[in-house]
Amino acid sequence: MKIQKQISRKIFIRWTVRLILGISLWIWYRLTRFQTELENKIEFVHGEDIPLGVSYFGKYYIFHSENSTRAFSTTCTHAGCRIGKGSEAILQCNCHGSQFDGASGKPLKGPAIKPLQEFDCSFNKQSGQWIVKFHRDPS
Amino acid sequence: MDINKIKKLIQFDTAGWIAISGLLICVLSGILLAIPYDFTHSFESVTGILLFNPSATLVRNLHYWSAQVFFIFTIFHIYDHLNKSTETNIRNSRTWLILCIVLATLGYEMISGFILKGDAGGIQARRIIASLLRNIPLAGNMLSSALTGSEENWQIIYIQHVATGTIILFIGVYEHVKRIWPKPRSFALIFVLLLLISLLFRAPLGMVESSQIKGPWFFIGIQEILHLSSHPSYVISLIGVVFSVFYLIPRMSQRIRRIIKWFLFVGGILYLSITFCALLFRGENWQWQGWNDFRKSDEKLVIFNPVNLFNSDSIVFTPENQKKEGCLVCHGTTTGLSESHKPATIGCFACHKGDPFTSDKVSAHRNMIKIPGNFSNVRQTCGTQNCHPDMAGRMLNSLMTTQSGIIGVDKFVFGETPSLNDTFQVKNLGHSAADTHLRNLCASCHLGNDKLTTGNSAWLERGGGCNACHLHYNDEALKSMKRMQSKLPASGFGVHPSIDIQVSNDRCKSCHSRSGRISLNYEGWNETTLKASAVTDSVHQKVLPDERVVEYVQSDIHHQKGMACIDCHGSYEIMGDGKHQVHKEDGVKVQCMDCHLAGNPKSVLVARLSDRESQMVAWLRKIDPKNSLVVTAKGEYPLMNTRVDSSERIWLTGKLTGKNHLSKPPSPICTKGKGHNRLSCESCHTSWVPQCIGCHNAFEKDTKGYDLLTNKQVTGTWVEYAGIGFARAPVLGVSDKIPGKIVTAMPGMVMTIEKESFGKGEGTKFHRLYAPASGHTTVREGRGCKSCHNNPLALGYGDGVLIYRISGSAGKWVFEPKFARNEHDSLPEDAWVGFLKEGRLPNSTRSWLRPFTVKEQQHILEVGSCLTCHDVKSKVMEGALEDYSKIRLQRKRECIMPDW
Ligand code: FES
Repeated sequence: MKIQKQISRKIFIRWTVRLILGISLWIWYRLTRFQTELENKIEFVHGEDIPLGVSYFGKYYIFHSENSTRAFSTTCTHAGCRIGKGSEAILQCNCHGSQFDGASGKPLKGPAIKPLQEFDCSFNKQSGQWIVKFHRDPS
Repeated sequence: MDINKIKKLIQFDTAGWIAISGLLICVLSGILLAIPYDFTHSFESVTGILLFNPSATLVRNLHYWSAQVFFIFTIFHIYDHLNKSTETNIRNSRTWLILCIVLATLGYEMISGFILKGDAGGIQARRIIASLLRNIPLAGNMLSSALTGSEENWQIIYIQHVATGTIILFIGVYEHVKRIWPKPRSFALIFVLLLLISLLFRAPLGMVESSQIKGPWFFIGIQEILHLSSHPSYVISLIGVVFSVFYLIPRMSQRIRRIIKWFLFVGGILYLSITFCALLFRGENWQWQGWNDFRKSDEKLVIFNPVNLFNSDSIVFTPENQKKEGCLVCHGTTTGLSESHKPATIGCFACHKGDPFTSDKVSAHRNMIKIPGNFSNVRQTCGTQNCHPDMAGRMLNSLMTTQSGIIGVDKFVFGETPSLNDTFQVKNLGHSAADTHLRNLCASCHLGNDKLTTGNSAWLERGGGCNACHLHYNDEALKSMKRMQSKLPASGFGVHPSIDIQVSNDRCKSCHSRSGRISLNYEGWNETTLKASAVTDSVHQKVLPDERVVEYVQSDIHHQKGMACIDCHGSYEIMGDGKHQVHKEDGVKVQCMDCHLAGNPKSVLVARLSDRESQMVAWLRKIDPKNSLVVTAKGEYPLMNTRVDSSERIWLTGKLTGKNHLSKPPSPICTKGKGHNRLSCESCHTSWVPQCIGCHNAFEKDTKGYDLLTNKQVTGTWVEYAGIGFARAPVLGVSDKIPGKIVTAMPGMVMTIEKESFGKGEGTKFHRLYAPASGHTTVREGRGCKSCHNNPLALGYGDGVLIYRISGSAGKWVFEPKFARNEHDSLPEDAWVGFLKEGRLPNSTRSWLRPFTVKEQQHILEVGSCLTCHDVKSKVMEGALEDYSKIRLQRKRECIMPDW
């Protein structure tokens, strides 16, 4: 009876610790998610006259051509460095040498193999502005 | 002293205790460093420490070097244990786990310390670590947010570095040895040693906009592995495996432990080799670089920069909005540079290198590049990824750098290459007869020739990379330079020569006054064989700085209107388009027809310019985005100083003068009928070209000369003895590039070469090669009909009397040359082709250029025979222009056609 009581306390404590650990991890997980979502809820606006070719804006760039206007992330899909302006319509990552095609975001030279993340880029007729969103509107 | 005593003195303590001493010093210096350090402006605060706070600099150095000691001796300590197999002493798996966590924390502390400098390497390293952590299954995002924070907020990484990491390290140490205080003697010794090192050697700091990203030395191996792998998750797995194996070591059997240790040891050696290799031979964008590039790069592993703790100079602060560079303490008020190159905006280091993080004059100027923009340093200066990488890349392939065409033709006449269409690079010249000929006579005119002295480029100082065109000293800048060179006090404040795009004709002249001499032609001057002492007419004659005498003939209409070379020739021509071109006509994009055309011009809106360079020029020249610019037919390059107005008229603005010129369409005669549609504009509108014949080349082995490629004096040189020269209308020929097009030509290589004299050939080689002429002597009025159809010069026969003789009902063309016939090919000295003869091959410096065939000569002369009777303005001739065949059929009986 005494042994049983001891064991059950041990188990109780073990489970309590696990529970606390679990709850802490869950809170940590939720906190991280909220924070990431918050950081991604940003919009950037640009005037109508975006020049042709690549226009670089730090976290993203806009590629404007006769037929389309697209925004891409400047985070390298290889290991997360910020890619910079390369030559003309090519973007260059100086960390390990990847190159991306500005028009499509596709990698031209490795080590990166995935295309750059595309952001939502739409024209608001009312304000006459281009809006770049880091998140996608729930539709 | 016996060897054991020395050994004992060096090994004054175990690696573990040395590491702990390092840790303590690191933590103590870290506490002090927190006072001047500001994580919200990390880079600025670190530069502020380096520039204005010597004590804080010392503390920062101490923090850095003690961390290195802690890291390296911890590794030694682990090695010692594994080597002696004493890891089994730690039977408690919890302690071993804590030690493994400590090891991971140590890695984190080292890398976060590197990140907190806030330079480009630090910023990118934060992103790489964040991304690597995110690759950890399940907990990746949580770990990444907790350990590296977000892009804008460095608070997390700072707190984890100073608090969490430090606490874990201390817990680990305490768990391991149950005390944290090393022996006082060891601690004191290490402290003194570290203090000494810190007084002399600065902890590294890169630039915030540097494009050379490597990371801290211990991370470079991982960087190389990352470069080789497209999947960073493999790298994080590899690190995970190493840690797991390490964690499991004490639980393994002795045999397996030995195998694991062997693998760890070999892996460690391999990792160090990769690190070393990448450290030296990886450059910008992780490309391979040579030893020289490494030496010239900003990367310095150990920076000797003693801390002057007793510096009592009154400190001059750089204003808040300026770059934080030590150079600006003295040179901050420098004027003369445009907005984009102003020191306040880009600092001094971007161009001149040196050491921007010291206020000590000697250290600051060490390794400084006095003349940036030379091609020997362009990749470190103007051409870095952040500045003008495209242009530098293009320039290195441009014709003005490679001299490809000049080399190709020269090698062809020496018989060293069978083709006229190969590409060459002047830097690769060897020592064959042609190569030596080029080295002695031509190899100075290329942009790779470094500018070695300050001041505006002198006439004979050719090359200089970007400086050849873009560096301009005005009087103030020259005075300022002299003052600076005199080293007088306060001479650092002054006027910098400007770096701009206002390139005057004089910049082109020292090279382009040679060969085709387009720079001289354009302004109306023709080179003579006169000596400087023989000049009598100071208005119509002048002496060039290299003592050549030129005589005024007639200048180009565009020059008369005030246009400069750069008004027609844009950056994609002058600096190249990136392709390794063969000849100059491959590089030239602009054609007369781009501005002088009958229909509507091809144009583009400034706002719709797609290339970055044109966008930048539009911004620099403040061109209205709503303007339409003319686009060249060849290659579709925008002519930045043109404007197409609403009536489709073309206006050109002088880049140097700001003057507007209305471009005229071609006269109706140019486009009338079929008669002349094969003619290029130049064939009628070039008033004259310089023509030299009979140039003799011999190698004189005792004569002193120059190797222009190395800029060294040599004994034994090729010498050129010029023949005679004239300024006269160009010869006409046919281009097979645009089939049948009539183009202008001039003597290109009419010369004899004494091959024997060089000792590597036999006899004398003679060539009569004509080159495509780009006269740059345009006149409004085109040449008349007779000037081609009845002119032996235009037809390529050379000077002489060309007469149409009629006897009875037969007509015959006869030609009596003025010059004697050359002994080698029996043609008159100034001829390109024999009278009514086919041209003998080779006859041109281009594969696509040729003189008229016999049939073509007959055709031209047949019209010439009409012109002997009919006036050029007569109905017959006007009709002939419309449709010659028809007029020929309608000819009267008394018309006597030539008998061939
Ligand atoms: S992070 Fe861009 S290439 Fe590796």
